[in-house]
Amino acid sequence: MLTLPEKVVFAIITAGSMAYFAYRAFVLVRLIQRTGKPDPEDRLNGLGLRLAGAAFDVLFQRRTFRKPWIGALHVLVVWGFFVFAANTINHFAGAFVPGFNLFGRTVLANIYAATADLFAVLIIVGIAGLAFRRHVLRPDLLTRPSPESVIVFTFIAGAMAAYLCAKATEIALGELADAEWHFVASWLARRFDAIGHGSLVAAAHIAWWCDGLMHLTLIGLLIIPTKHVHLVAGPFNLLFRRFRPRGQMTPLNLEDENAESFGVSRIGDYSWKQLLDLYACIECGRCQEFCPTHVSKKTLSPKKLVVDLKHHLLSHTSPLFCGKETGALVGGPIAADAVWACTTCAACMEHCPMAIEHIDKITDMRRHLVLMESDFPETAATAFRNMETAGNPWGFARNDRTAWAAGLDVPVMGEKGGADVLYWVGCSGSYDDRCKNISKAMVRILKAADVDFAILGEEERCTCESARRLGNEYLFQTAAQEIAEILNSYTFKRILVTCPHCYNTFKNEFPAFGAAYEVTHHTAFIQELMDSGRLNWDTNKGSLVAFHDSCYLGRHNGLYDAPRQVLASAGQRIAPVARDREKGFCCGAGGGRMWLEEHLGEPINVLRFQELTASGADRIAAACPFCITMLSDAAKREGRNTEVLDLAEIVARQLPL
Amino acid sequence: MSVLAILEQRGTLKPCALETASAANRVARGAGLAFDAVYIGADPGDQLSQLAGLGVRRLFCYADPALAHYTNDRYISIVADLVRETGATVLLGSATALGKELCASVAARLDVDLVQDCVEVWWDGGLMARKPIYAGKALAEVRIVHTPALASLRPNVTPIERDGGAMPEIVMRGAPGVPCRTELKESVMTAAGAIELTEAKRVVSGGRGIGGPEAWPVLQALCDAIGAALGASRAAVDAKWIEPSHQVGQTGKVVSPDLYVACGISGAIQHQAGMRTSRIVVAINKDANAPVFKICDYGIVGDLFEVVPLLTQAVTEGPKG
Repeated sequence: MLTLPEKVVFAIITAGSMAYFAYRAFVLVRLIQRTGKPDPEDRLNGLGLRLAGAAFDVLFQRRTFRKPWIGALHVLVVWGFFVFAANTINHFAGAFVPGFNLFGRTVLANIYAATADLFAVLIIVGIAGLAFRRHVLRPDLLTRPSPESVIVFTFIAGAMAAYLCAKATEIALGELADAEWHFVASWLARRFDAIGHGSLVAAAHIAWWCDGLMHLTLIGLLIIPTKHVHLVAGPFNLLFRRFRPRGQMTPLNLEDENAESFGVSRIGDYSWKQLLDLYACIECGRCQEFCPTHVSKKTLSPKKLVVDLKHHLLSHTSPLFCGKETGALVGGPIAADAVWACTTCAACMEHCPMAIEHIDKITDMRRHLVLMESDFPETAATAFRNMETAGNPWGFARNDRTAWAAGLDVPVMGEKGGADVLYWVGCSGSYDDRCKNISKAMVRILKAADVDFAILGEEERCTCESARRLGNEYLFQTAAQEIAEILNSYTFKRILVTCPHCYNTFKNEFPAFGAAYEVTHHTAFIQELMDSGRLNWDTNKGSLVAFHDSCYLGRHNGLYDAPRQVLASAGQRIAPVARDREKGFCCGAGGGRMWLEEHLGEPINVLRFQELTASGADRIAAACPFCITMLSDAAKREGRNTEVLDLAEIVARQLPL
Repeated sequence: MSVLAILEQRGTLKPCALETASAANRVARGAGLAFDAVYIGADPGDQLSQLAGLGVRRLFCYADPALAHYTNDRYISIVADLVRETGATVLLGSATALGKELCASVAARLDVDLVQDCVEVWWDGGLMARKPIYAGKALAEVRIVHTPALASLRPNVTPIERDGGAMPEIVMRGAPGVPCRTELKESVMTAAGAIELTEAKRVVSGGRGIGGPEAWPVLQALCDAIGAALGASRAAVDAKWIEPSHQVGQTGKVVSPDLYVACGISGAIQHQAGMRTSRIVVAINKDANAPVFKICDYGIVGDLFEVVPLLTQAVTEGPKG
């Protein structure tokens, strides 16, 4: 239908745009290729699984559907885009080959015509819904709407409207073969009856051009790095997603004599995958919805972190291409407070629809600050020194480690040589008066169930998990090697721990240091004992309990059900908590925050305590010594007498005397 | 050939300066060397009379308003030049925050060895030093073979010994003509009081159990009576009852006084980590089940508003009868 001059102009515009887009795409790909370091993880193993997973997530928007309404609106747009891919080809080819159709003159073409019309409307509905949410409802997680989102919304909805108008005018002019299948466009065409032929021809040309140019613009928006680059980068990010456990930090090779620097100081110290993450960000804000530091009004928001890193990367394209130095991230685009605020609770990674890895970005910056700059909060230094010299964070004497067990007749590996179960007590359970009760309760349970167990006693030392999360990889690796040596000198079948941080370390991190053992958290262990009938208990003492999910039990290791089943079996009623399981809210002590002061924003532990007690429960149950310390402190701070108990303590109380 | 002691001052001579002088005197007598001391600061006025009987032969007194406050540039060049001038074989300083920096910088300037934070020094054919290692679990004896030998002494450890009332010969000096890259405009003191928490021989601390900031005057009265510094638990700091500079604990200051009086403190592990090396711990708490009673030497179950004033009164009035 186009005139010859129109065809020439359109050909030039299309060819020019395509060349520019190809150039832009090339720049984006080259930027992370040149800038990024090799990634420590194999990102292509299990390729079939990766492809299937990425395809499934793209098509069915698995994470997006955690908010069902948003998921539904978004999936309309996603599917619509796939449907319209064919239409775009038809439209552009149709400019030069009148009546061009990928599906020819088959029934497929008819079905496609109807589908395209349907999705043109559905996309408009989806976009209108999403725009309404973003610009009118303005939920906190989206922060302020950016001008680019207005442009994107307008062009998507506009392109669909232009498509329908173009088809409708063609139908009105009698130029479309399968008019009856374009059921929306033909309905629209009937509205045009009153318009004269000349005006209709003009309108047809205008609509055609709008349709074509808006499609070109949309393709352009995919490549120009607005957040819409996620349409292209997102599927690749899902393809290269992390397969290693979430709770596993990558070991640094500290022996590497060629390494000039450890951790991340500048943007170019990140791996290519870490940089691809930045492109993939949709700025949906789901990462910050359950983020303890964002919710408690501190400097760090995972969304802001990723967006700031992205802007930093893109605004340094030319120095990065020329191999010039870019400035340090911390103190530049990233505030030092933000780096130290993170509790590594993984709420961000759990909820990110694009599988972005936020925690590593932060811990890598901490690694640089600690290992290279020796620049870290003063109070962390005390904990580091104590872990190193005394083998526990508080600096208590090694030979006081078994004081809690006095009079309990607890077998020690060194004397026994071996046992079925090695009970790893942990530093809190050994030294903290509050947490010693958990160890004592655990021993009661083990004895009641007649388990063959032993502790390491004075040979036990801190795993230095929190030091690792604070960036002190050297301290962690030293501890890991020391512990591996001790463990390998005894025979046992598995390790039992009462601390989720120790659990995560044994399960996900120590295997890389020569200590690969089966490890069970005490919640799962108690459940086993209950299920196998080895424990008899009194279920009459049940009460209403609010259960607090520990991040390193739940989100990091997927243990959500065992603690709940133990509580239920012990006759406790579990109160509904506003944020639990995958949405659980951190106590504030993870990621080494236990050893730092919380000067900014609101206290995280108080926020969590208020939320737990709002459930109406008069008791809080947890399964982590850090959580118990933080929540007990919050109770005192709030002047409340709410009991904060470990699962082991609740179960031990119900055992017959 | 002599022993040189650095007398630390913050406006006035610090007690640790006299301790360092006593230790230096002992080393000098052991080695049969002369003992000199160096004072750097503003005009000392009549404070130097405190040096009577400490065995100082010559006191090099660098008195100038420009030297009132510690600056690395000026202090280092004074001490380093003086060591060269007097040919000192032993240099002793105090292991305070300031003293440790000064000694380390002087050691670097002179390119000699330094042992920091010693609890004892003596002469045995050379300078010997004893210092705690492995978080205080063991003591190391170190012989410093090179001269001059540098050591810094932990405060509150060395007894001050006087013999007679002889005063040193005072050699007045002015500020050195070295460029100074930093200038102290103003020092803002927090309300932490005159006694530095980490150096105090006695500490009185309050926790959540004190009920509110109105209890501080009661505790401060006891502090004044026994010459103690005022501390606080994290709970009291979190409740914003007192400045964070008073906080004793894992994430606050680590103290090891002779006497630690814990008032209304439950004794959580985070607090214990900051005071567990105190020599004698007295706990005052209403709650007889508070964990603090497990770690104290003397425990008083009672209301601190009753107990603390009685203690203060007993101290100020002395033993009855």
